[in-house]
Amino acid sequence: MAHGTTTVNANSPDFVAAAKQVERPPLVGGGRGFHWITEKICSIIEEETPTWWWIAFFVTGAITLLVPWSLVYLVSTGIGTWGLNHPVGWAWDITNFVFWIGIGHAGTLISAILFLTRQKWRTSINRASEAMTLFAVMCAGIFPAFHVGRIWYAWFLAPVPQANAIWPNFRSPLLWDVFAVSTYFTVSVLFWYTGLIPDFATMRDREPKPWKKKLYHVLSFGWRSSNRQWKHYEMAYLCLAGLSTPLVLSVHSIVSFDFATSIVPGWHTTIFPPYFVAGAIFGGFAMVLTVMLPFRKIYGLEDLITEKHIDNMCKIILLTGSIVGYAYLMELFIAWYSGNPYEKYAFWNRALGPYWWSYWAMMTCNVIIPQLFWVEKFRKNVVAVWIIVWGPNIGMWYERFVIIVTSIHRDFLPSSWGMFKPALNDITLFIGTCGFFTWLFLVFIRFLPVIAIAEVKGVVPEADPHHHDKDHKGGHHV
Amino acid sequence: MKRKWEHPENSQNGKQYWRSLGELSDTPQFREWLEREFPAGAQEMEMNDISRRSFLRLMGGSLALAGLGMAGCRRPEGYIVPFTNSPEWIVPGNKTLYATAMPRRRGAVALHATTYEGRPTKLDGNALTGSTSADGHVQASILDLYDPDRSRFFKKSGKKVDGKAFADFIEEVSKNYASTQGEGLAFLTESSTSPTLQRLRTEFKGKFSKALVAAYEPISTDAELKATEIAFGQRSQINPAYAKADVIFALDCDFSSKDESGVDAAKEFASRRRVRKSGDMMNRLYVAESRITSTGGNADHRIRMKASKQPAFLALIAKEMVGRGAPDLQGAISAITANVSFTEVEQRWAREMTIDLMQSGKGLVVVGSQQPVAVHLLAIAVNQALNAYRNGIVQVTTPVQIPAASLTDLISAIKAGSVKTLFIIGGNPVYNAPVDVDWANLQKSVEQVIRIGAYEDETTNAKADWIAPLAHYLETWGDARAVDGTYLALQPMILPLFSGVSELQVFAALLGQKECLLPLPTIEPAKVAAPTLPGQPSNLPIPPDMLVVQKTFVEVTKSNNWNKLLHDGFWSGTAFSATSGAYRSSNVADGIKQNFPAYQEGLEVTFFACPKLDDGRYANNGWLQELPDVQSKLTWDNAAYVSYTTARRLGLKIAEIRPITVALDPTEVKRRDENPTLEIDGDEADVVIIKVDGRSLEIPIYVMPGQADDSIAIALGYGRDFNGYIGHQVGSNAFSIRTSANPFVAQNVEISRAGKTYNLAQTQHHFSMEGRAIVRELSLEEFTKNASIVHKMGIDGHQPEDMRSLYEIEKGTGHRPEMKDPHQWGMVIDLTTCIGCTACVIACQSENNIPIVGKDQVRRGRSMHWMRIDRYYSESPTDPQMAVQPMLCQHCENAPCETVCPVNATIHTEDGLNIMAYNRCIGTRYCANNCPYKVRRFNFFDYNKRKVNKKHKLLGFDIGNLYFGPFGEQNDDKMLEMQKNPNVTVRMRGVMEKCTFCVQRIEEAKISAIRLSKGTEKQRIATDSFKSACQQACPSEAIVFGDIANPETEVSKLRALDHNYGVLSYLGTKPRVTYLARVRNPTPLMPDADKVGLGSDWDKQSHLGSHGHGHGEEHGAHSNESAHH
Repeated sequence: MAHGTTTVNANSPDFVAAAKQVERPPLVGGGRGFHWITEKICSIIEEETPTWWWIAFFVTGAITLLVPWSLVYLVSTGIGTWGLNHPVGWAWDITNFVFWIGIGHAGTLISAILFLTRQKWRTSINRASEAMTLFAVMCAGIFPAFHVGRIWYAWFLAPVPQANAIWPNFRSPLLWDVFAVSTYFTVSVLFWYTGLIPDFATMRDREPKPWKKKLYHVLSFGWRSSNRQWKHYEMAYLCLAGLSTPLVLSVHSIVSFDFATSIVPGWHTTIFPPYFVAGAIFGGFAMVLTVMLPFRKIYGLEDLITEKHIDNMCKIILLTGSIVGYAYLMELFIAWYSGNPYEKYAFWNRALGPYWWSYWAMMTCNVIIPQLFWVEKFRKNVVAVWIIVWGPNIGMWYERFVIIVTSIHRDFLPSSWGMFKPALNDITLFIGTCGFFTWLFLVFIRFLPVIAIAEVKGVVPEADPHHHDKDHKGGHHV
Repeated sequence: MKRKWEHPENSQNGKQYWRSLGELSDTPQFREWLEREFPAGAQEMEMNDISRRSFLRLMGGSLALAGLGMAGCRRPEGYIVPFTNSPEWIVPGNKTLYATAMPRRRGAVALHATTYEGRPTKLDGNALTGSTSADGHVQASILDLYDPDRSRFFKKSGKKVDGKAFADFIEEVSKNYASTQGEGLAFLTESSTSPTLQRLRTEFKGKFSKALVAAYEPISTDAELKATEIAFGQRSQINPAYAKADVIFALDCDFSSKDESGVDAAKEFASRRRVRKSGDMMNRLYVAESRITSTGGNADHRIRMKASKQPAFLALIAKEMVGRGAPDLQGAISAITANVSFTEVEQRWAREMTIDLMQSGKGLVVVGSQQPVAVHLLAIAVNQALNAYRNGIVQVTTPVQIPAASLTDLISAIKAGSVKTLFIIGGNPVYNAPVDVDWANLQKSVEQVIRIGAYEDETTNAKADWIAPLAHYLETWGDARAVDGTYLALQPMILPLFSGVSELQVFAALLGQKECLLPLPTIEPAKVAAPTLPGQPSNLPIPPDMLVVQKTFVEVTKSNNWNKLLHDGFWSGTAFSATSGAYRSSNVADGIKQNFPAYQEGLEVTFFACPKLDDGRYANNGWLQELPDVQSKLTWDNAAYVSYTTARRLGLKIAEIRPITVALDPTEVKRRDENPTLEIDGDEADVVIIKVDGRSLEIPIYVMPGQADDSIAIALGYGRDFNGYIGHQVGSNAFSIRTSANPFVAQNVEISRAGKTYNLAQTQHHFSMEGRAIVRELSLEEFTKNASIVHKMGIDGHQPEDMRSLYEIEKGTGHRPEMKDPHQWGMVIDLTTCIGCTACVIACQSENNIPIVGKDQVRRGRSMHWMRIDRYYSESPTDPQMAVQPMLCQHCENAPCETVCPVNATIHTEDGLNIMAYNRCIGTRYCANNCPYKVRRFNFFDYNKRKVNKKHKLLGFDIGNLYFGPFGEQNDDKMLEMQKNPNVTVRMRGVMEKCTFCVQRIEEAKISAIRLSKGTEKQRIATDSFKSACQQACPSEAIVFGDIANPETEVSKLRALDHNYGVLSYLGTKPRVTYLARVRNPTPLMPDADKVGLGSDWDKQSHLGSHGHGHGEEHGAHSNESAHH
């Protein structure tokens, strides 16, 4: 298909090979067309509920029940049911909060930033990762809400006019958190839902049962797929992407302010905002892969979520993992370079103190293990990828634990040093949220189109009006 | 409907009471507020009366609303029941102070009891005696009054009877024994100092001459009395005047905290250690002891030494003295055969100390009351040689304890079968009598036992035919003598809560005054209300026991001014004067020769009265159980203290953690390796079996820095077995191996591992300051040269002169945030005089309604004390230097806690307090995380509401009551609520709390200042006119609180001193609590002199991470001149 004026033989094997090397692999593999895409994605919802799904649903549902159980116990009995003490006023509660919030970052990053930067490969993974974001933020929200001693007065955090005329303290990063997280959640929900509207319409059109049809009709806001609707829709989607993009950066920056604005050695660090954002993307992508790879396998979505997608995500993990590793080393350097004995002690204590194992677990999982992705073979091997991403999943939890617990368990006055041990209720609540997250995801894949049908169709070659059939069949519009 | 301003009419001819400060000052702002808020009410206020119509209208309206059920949506109601006939002076919500006294074995303590509406809530030293301080035992005894476990009923053969039956029984006893002159009648009491009791006993002896009245104290001062009898010809008490001595040598004598001398010793001692400016002098303290005590930790030179070696050590000192100009001592020591060898260091220590002691001309030697008679005699001889008696440094006076027979006399009487009826009043001999006498069986062998005790305890349970509750001293009439003999009054603050009786009442009843045991007759209400006519007796019934005391009062003081005694609480001029007995050197020499204890190699066990529970009498006191021991930081348990070396030698498990070396300096690493800083984690302490004379005790060990090798120290007072909710089976009972032959030091001890572990609860695990300049120390010489060098220690040396916060409002003057109030509160704590006695901790707990949390919660690091005593060790774990530092909310001007609270629950007041609005707090705990001093305390559970110390079995696990939440057992007994200070909120779970600088006292002072000025002129509180609770309790006056905006106050003056510094001031927190650096006064030639001050380990460590202060040249440049005289 050469336009050139050279005399190269376009059919020569050399040329074909060279062209293949330059050409990007298609975003949808297997030369799949529009019809196949619709059928494939809708069939996940429309088919008989598989047995494995029921099993998984009940197992994770049972684990989810730990959440209400732990919370009822916590609220009725007291924060003492956790392992907290003086000096460790925060431990698993805020660790889990930051962990889940971090996971919630990949979704919106994929949706918004990759959208704005025209990274078309996002289309087949954005729906599921956005859903994952929402579920992770839901899990995250439980912790700050319930970690307070008197949740029945948590409304004091809201700037509402009240009889005693006391406003919240706008200097407190905890208050910024309240606003940042709630804004992020709201915008993420809107963004996600907006993306779902054309797909709801597709579901409506396919649905034989009248009541279900009616439901999809309502959910799709009467979508007709008219040119005008598409114009408005795309503008709305673009605006929401624009709104979400700064939020991706701001939420975790503000979460990091919970620590950075304090005076505790190990918390009081200006590197935190970029380091937290990088860590969040790192952890978020790892979780996307963790969730998506099994589901890709089960539903045979290899043509939609291709090796290319996995490869891209692995590279992002490699990049952000290295940024995080750099931040760890920079913290150590600054601790030494500052000459501040308190600062120095805080970091030496992380690495060599009683919680050394958590520090080295973090280092191994976050810095060393992801370096395997330099090797293409690992990036291309789905099983290897799935195993490696457990590194960041675990490591990022440890990172938050290390930052929070090892900093405050030994701070300024050695007289007040102490140790933290998790109590049963810490553990049950965390496991409960893990169950809750998985449970929500299972419900999601069963009831909503897990891949954005309309968007994926937009990236197949047929959708490109300038698309030219190159060397194989192509061309049939379904 | 809007609430109406209801305002009762002002009385026409009485005092004008006001309801708020605003109303009193009647400022335009108040008027405006009143009119804005309650327009209708304001009218009433202006008219100054309520019309009948408006009253009826209001009442009708309220009734209608109540009837409509609208009151149902209101918050739960509480009821305040007013007095029908109020006692004089009582204004609801205002406190009333009464003078009384707390009787103790060796002299009572004059007190002021704070009462609210007839409820005593707090005890402090009687300010009229010149000291407001009271130690932890006194402070905590208020809790004993309200202890729900107290003995509550009169019982005959286990069946409840009423008080009248008991009175009848006493009358019957009195009649039955009258004919036989009391033959077969015996009493066992605690030692007492009450002149009334002495008078009654004398009368009793006259009537029942064959009756036996014995007294027993497990911690007695008998040895001292016996020694004085030998030396001076009469039983006397030795009163050292610490304020007069320049050099003090304390041999195993913890005089500055609890060794029987009350708070006076600490106060006097501290008075000579207060250095303020260059050139000030201070005394010097040498301590030789087996277990590190507060006194030892505070000494200028301390040497650790086995208790059994100490007598010989004192002889060594005496020998040194003989050679240096005290030949008279030769006689006293000639008979002592020294079978002890002393190390080079010990000899040098003794030599240099002796030189100093003698050169000073004002030397004093004190020995612990647990030392045997011969050692007391030797100390008397040494003091004699030092001219201490002639200089007035030691006074010998009549003992304040009233004479009584000994326990041994009683035992032989019981064994002879001559005791038919035995009264056991107070005490607890089944628990604390020497184990070899087997008291429980002796008691069972007596025909009839009448037990009058505060608790139904071990003694009650062994055998008691009659049980009567013993009244608390705050419930009784009585009198007592202070340590110096001053006559003190005891007056009841409250009627006996469980109709308990006092020893005085029992003896009076036995002497025929049965009415003493009966309740007062009730009188018609009309009579109560009627005024007493001039010259006529009161209409109110007069307690007969008061009349008994009054009679003694007249005899003792030759005065009739009973009201003055009750008002003042003491009668000045009744202190004992020195006795005239001449020193008999030959008797002393004989006494020493006969009884001088021989030294034995091998392990020894020393027993000491627990600084918290004493001999076990305070075992059911939650405050004391949870009070961290200063040295070990243990709560809720005792342990066998062993030295690091001994623990290693015996192969005991040591929880030893080497700290992370901050500096990468190789010499530092080496030094640390040679001297590992121990971190003793009480979790999983090794349990050992200690065998003494065939009896064994199972007890966890605790590796104690500064403990003498081969010496095991065990606190008495634990392991009690009675119905006490707090004290039942807490710790191990050391009385079970304590015999009458070896009450304080037992030798020939075997120790073996029990093969199990035990969890101890500590409040501090880390002992090292980790090279941080937290406690700063100077030697006196360095202080004299340049005291302000303390500002250059640690990272603070790098702090810019002009350090300001980003958030400060600059107002030209200084860089303080703007604070408009004329008062600015601050505190200075003098680390030189602080002895770590923990009186402040208990005072704070008592003043501020601080709950206890129970052992399990302490182990989890959740104790609630607003004030704690941080204790650090430096140098090696075997021979450490100890420093204590009271730590409380520093009320930072730039408080890190305030900015991070999302709901504005912790804020700054205009008078410079960092305050907590409990109602606003939602409990994020961020403030506590961000507090560099870690003084904020979070209510993890409802500690006030629920029983903290109870456990329930669930699925085979022991689970704390707190973990049962709403199903947990509540503190439903209202007794403990009565102790609460009504001016301080009782906090619920989920709320953060911390020191408020006793804001309730500040507000009280402000109100009275405004009241006096009528709001017209300046309203400044008079200089130093009130104290915070901790300051009030501090015996050494180390804590000074006050207005730093007023240059006249003590605190302002102290803040201006050169050696005043703020902890962690480099953070820019601008703490309002500052510390005066610790100054110690070492003798340059002593072996451990280089461990004091700038050259010390403290300082070497504190310079890690900082560099180049240029004061290194001052190290080691100690001159030979002694700085103290």
